[in-house]
Amino acid sequence: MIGLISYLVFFLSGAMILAIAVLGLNLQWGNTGIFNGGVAAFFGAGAYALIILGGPDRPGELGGFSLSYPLAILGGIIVSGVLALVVGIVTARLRHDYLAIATFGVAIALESLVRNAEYLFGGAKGVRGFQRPLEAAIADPFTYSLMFLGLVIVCLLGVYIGLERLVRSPFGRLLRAIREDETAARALGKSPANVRLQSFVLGAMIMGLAGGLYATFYAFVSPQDIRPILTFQIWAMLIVGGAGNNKGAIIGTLIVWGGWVASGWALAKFAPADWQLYTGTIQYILIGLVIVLTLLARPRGLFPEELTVSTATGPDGPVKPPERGTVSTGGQQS
Amino acid sequence: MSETRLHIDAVTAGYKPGFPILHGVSASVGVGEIVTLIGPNGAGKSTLVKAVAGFVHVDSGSISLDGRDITGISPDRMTEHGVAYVPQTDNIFRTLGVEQNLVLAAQRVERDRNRAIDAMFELFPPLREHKGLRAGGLSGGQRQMLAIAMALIAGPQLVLMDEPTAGLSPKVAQEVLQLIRNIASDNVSVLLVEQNAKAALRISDRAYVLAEGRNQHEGTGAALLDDPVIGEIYLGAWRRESA
Amino acid sequence: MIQSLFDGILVGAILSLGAIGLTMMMHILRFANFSHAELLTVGAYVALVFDAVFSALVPAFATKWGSLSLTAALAVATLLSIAITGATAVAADRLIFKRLRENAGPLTMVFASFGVALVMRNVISLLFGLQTMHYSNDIAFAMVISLDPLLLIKPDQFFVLILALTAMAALHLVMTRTPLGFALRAISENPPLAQANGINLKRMVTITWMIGGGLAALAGVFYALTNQISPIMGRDLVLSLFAATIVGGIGSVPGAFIGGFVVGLASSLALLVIPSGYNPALPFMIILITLYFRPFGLFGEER
Repeated sequence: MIGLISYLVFFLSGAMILAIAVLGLNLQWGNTGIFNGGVAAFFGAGAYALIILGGPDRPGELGGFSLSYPLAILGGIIVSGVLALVVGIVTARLRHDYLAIATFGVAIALESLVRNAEYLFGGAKGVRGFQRPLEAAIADPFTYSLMFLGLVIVCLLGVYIGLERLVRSPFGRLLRAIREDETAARALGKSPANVRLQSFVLGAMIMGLAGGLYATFYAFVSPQDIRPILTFQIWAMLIVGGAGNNKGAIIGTLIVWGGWVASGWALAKFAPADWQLYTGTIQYILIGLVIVLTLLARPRGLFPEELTVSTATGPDGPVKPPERGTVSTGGQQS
Repeated sequence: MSETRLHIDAVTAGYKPGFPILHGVSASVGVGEIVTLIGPNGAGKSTLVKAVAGFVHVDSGSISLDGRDITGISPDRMTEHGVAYVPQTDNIFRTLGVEQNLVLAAQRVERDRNRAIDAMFELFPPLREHKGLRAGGLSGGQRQMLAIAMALIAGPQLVLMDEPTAGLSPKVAQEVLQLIRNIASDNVSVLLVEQNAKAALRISDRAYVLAEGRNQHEGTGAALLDDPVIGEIYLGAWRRESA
Repeated sequence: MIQSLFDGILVGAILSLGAIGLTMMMHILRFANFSHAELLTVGAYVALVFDAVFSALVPAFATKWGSLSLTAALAVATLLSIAITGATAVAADRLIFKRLRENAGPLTMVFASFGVALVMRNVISLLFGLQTMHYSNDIAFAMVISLDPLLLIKPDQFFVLILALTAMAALHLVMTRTPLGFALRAISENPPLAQANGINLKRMVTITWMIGGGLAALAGVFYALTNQISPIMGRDLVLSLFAATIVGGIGSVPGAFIGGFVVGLASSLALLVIPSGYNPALPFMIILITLYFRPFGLFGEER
């Protein structure tokens, strides 16, 4: 029984950390319509920054700053934000799919950087030896994991409440206005590029927070933790939950993460031995199918957005500006 | 008046189903007749032309050509029904050569495409002169020539033109309008939207005044030109705006 | 140095083939298709299957041509693969992208294209295994072209380069000399005007998918001939393909051609100065530099 409960605590801690990242993505995609193909990069930047800033001295490698835990996690959030700022500034004025390509590229580049720059980021073996906060003070591992779950839930609630207030504020309305009709938003005298950049950076900082908590959870981070599949998992969680709806984002996380863990367990237990090598392959197919089929069958997710500024039904349409490529008529009537 | 070629009957239409811009507009164009649509911005003139060309969703009403219903036919098949459409501004392929533009337009011609292209070069000698040039490099008047040649190449019964003189100097605009007059003398019908209402009315047989997506007034070109009310409300306004 | 130049040109030619299809799709349908690179993988494996089938059915087909690893079986298999991969691209459009195009926006299609890529890549892994393969298991010997500076070229590499250039020259002729080429260019410049000129938009979109898929299949076979076949070959090339389209300017076929060589040469020359582990990050650097200094690429237009 205690085993089951302790597993549940473990599962929930992981899921709630991912939910924070999904909320960050929801701010970017759900509320502002910004495509982020490199969630793993911003998550990973937070994770690596936390563990290097708050970790012990590693001979011959970057580290030894020994910042206190809150400062280290703040450092991770800032590093993610700065990364987003750089990418955002370069691509802000370009067509939206450039941002998709650039952010996807960031994730690939960051993974290759941490995998190779051993003196900075530990290389393929990752960074170990992180002392989790208060772990020495709380001797009992179960009590500690409960306490950690508490910390994660507090963070999640903080982000959730903050975002709920944000999307209902004038700034939130502005985000949705830009998402649905950039030209009209510009006519209101607002610079859409600027507002989009703010939303992108803020969302990335939330992902950085999630990454920091993730690194704390495992007291370890390696290039394995920031592979592109993480981005796709987080997308699937948001798409299933319903882009634009923070509650849906959290429930979507539980469903998809639950499905991921359960499918991994089932494959390990029931699949024939020579299939074990392909467990990951099958799970990747499942994530791909979840993304594609949800977009086709239930594009607004299980919990569609409640707040809209017009008759639009969610990010990206069906109310959309005339696209030349999609056989629209273009031009204006006279 | 000659027999009716285009018949627009109580058309309600718009870019999105259920959000009409035109509300029950009717109009007709006879064989070899030039008909101009005038009215203020947002009156629905271009929308009406696009509805005939198949680019705009028609909620109700009907459009027929020589008695055949052409409502809701997709734009790429309009040409089979003898309708040619010259859009406003971007009405040639800038990245293709002049001759390539014509070759492309001639694909609609059933046979002897080369002769059709040659005929256009006869009609518009400057095009032959520049046939190797990228169409984007043509002057404003030559662009309109090319656009009109592309419309005429398949021998249409009806040519729809959306502001063919937009952005042209007054002299070139006058030449283009004269060209349109010549087209009509070949028994081709023309439905025209024109900013430059006064000049357009001079070459038009008849005109419709639209306002807020509804028929407001109609008459012969000459009568509308002389009508003091129309002159004050529309033509004067237009003169001020285009000045 | 000279060896790196040759290797870069070879990779560049393969990237150009893949990037041309990608840039055409991005221009017409206005979305970044992240599953395009998987079509290279599909093409390579389809050719692998039919190569085995024909070699088994007609033993004479399995004889190698001179010092190439190419056989008649592989040649026929490649032609089939071009058709089948083109059809796969059309099928993906019909089943997924077309529906999303009608009901949602272009960015939803980008999301979906990642999902499609995941499914394609991992289904191939399941079917063929994660291990790398080759069309021919014999070791291909390189010819020493020059000793100082050292330049080694395998006959396969030389053959692939020539064939890739020929294929692109043929496409160039189609685009600049035939009504079909004019129509494809017309559709990407101005769809409504193209329709007004009697061009069937849906048909052109289908043809573009066929061309894109066919070129991707060719690129996949060529990559497999000069490197190896693996389920992750598309994943490893996807960012390079995008970099090539962005360098050339999205929508520009000549741009994608040049862009492929730029990216190929840059990755190859970078190996001389940067440890090879960082190579996956290089296309991203090229993308950032291009976007910063020349946002619409060498030949692209602002839009």
